[in-house]
Amino acid sequence: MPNLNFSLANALYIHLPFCSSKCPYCDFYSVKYSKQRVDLYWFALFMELEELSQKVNNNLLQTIYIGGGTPSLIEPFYIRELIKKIKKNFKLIPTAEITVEVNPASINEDKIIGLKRAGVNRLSVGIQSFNDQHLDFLGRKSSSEKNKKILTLIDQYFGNYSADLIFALPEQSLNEFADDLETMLSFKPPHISLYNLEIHENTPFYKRYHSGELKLPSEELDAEMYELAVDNLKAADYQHYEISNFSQRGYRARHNYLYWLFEPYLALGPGAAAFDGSCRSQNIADLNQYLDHYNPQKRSFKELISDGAADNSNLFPPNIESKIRTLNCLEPKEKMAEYSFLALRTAQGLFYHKFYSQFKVGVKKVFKEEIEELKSKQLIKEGNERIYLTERGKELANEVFLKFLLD
Amino acid sequence: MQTDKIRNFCIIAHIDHGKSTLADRMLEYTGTITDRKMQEQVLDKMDLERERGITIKAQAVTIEHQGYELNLIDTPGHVDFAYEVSRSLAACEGALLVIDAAQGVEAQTMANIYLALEHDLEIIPVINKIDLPSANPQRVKEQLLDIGIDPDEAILASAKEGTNIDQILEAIIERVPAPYNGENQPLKALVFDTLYDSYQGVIAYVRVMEGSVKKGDKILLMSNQKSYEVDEVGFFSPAMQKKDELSSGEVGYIISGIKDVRNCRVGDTITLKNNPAAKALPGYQKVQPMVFSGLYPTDNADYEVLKEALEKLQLNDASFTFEPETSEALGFGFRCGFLGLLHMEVIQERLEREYDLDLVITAPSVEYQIIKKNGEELRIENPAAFPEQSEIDKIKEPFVTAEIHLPEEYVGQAMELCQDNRGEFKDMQYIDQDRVTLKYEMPLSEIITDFFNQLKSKTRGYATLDYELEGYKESKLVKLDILINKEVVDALSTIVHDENSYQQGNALVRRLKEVIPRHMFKVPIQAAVGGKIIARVNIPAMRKNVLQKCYGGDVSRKRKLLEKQKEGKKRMKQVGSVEIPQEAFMTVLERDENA
Repeated sequence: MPNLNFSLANALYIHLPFCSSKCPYCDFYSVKYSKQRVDLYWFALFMELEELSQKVNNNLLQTIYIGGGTPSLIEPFYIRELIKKIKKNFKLIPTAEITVEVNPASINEDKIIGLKRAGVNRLSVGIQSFNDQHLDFLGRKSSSEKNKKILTLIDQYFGNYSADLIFALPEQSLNEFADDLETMLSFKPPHISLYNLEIHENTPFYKRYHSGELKLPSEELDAEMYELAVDNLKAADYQHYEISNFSQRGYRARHNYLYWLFEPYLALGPGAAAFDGSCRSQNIADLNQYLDHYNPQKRSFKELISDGAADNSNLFPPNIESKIRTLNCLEPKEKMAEYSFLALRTAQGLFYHKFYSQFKVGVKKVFKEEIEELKSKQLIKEGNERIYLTERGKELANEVFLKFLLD
Repeated sequence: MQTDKIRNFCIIAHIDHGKSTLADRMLEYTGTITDRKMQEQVLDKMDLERERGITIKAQAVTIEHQGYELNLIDTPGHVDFAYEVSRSLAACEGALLVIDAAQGVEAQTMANIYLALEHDLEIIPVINKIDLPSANPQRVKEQLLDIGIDPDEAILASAKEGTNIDQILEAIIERVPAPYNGENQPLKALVFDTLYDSYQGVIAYVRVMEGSVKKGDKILLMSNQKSYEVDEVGFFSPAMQKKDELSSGEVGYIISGIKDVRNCRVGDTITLKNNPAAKALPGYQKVQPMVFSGLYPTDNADYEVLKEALEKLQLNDASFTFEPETSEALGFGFRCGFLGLLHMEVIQERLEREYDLDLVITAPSVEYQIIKKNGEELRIENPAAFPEQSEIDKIKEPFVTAEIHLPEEYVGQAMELCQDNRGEFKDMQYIDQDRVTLKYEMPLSEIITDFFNQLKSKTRGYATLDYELEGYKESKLVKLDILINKEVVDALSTIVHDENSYQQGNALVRRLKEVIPRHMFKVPIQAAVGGKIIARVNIPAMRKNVLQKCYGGDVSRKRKLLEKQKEGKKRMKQVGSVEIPQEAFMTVLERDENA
């Protein structure tokens, strides 16, 4: 196990790598869902959690994010046990944000209630679209009707939730997207995440895109959609607090915000990555190897719970030097680049004093010419001891970020 | 060695019919190479040669077998090096003609047979790869009969499995004539290749035709009358082995402190200063570069590195020329001359690989003859250096006779392609019932665009191309300029035929639009002839470039994506305020499929 210093981490990410089917644009690690696999996995997850909690001392957790995969496939019982266990092994602040990702195709009222009872206080729901054709294209097993129904239910039980929308799909018109947006806004979700369709390597879409079968909309249309969304969301009183994220006052995604602030975080599960402020440690993205490591005897989680033995830490032999993680420590210039572009993603931007306390050198010393050039191109603005993206800068953010990569 | 115990031969084959593998097997069988871990295909020495499966430099190796000295000369296999090939063949008395038992006689096989017959070589047909399940030696024999070669003389072999290598060696001894015995005559040694070694200077690969040469002799190169003292003679096995003397009929090397390959050219005759031959061997010509392009470092700071690299490469290659050149768009660089496109690619690749240089390469051009209205004559191989249209009276360009060997079914497509490239039909001949040779007279400038690639794709790879320079002829040519963001980019200028200028101008600006990335501002691209704009497209300003999703575990991956974008930008050439990728300078070459 790499020796990371997690003493300051107060966020925890847990990856649940199970899906009923794989969406053709998604490059997150997942395997096919089965009850038995989940049961074996939960045993392993508890082991890793036990191991982790012995390494971190007295960390005060502010946020927990349970992502996937499709966490809503899993019985709320497991989530409840997991949160119980986290509360046992870590300290949570009373107002900790506990988010679970859900897919409208695998959630229902009982599960929503179950999650709420399990202690979850925020849901992130992958709506993606209200257009049946587009949902089908994206491989989503939901429908426009179902998406609306689920949003109504979630709104009924959860005061805090986020909904995702994808735009710039092949052959999608500006009007179609405007409809999606309007429907979404009719629910007034506290938080909305907005992504254009990105083509990632090792996905079915990647192959179709490079064979010329999939044609993404022009840069112009993509930009118009984004601008339309930004304008409408602002008009509906949403804060555009990060390039792709919008919230009503007080409903920012606290967990994600810690990422953009370059704060350290803990992580559990295959494919999940933890960060201690300098190094990232990533678990192997392979469930079988993960299970071999943390549940070599293939023990059932449910039996473990019924034995009442889950609390017996003697069951966990955590002293194996881990072969299931890779450690990647950032060079100073890499760290500077990541710090800068993460900060610039937020509306607040990059604060000079924070940069200085991280790197003991002024940002305007390191990136003097770059900052001047970006200002003259009106991609960033300077004000009050900070720099931040202009509206145009948000659309051309990569052009800005590139300048913060040192040779 | 007595001449009756010497056999000099080469191996000729269509590409991929197993030439190099057969050579390797013969070396192994005769114990010339004992190390079993030898790299596959010993004779192709450069990585590039191995990767591309072609031979660029000629190689020689002496094989001892049953008291005989068998000298194998491996020849380059590309039209760019036709002259080197002819000199290698002139050094031999026999040729192994290797034919793939599954593929049968191919167009290149025919070209090879003609070449061998031209040099009076005894041909030993070898039907190779009989181990293949699809092998059909009987069919190949019938084909041989069709083309006038006795099929009973053919040896069935598998170079891969080492089958019947002994029979091939036996046939070489029995059938290839012994070299002429001219031991009592003055020295005549044919240079068929050269190599430069930084310690020993030029190593001349020679075939002694008459007389003999040994260490201490004063030799004379007959083309330039330069004389040197011999430091060492020897043979290749395949490493260089010293020897007391090279005598009539033998193949080997001469080292004599020549410091510049340009003083010892392929095809020249070496004789003795004190007892010179009356006449040089026939066939010497100084090969001239036919294709020219500008080479520029992407980073101007690399100019000196490029210069040194070019100097080093030239030490080994007298057919390649370079001289300094300046481009307004690209800065300081070199105008380089090559034998052909492959030669050009090989040099470029070696520069990028062996010297780790990032280069911008301008589209290849030929040398034009320009007669100005005031009577002045110019020879110009850089389109950017063309005089004003109004000052030009006539322009002449080099024409070649192109010979295309191909299966009959593709004749239509090939003829169309030739016509599209200003070819004039000369002749068509059937080699056998379904193989054809087409002859066209064409401007060389058309051949050095991607003519060969298109020919290959239109004939599913079956066509082969040879061409020979015919001379200069007048053509109605104009200079096509390209303006990017309203500025002429000299390195993108090309010479085109007047009739095609609109179409080519249009096609070119459209292609440039594809390869030049969007900028923060709109970038117009225009084509102009004689100051008149004939085509225009706009590259719209960049509207959106943002990674929208960026969360915890993904941050480093996003950084790497950005780093890749930045790397890409670095490889571009900044012209004015526009960043132009390297490939833009080569798009001038391409032809639109649907144009």
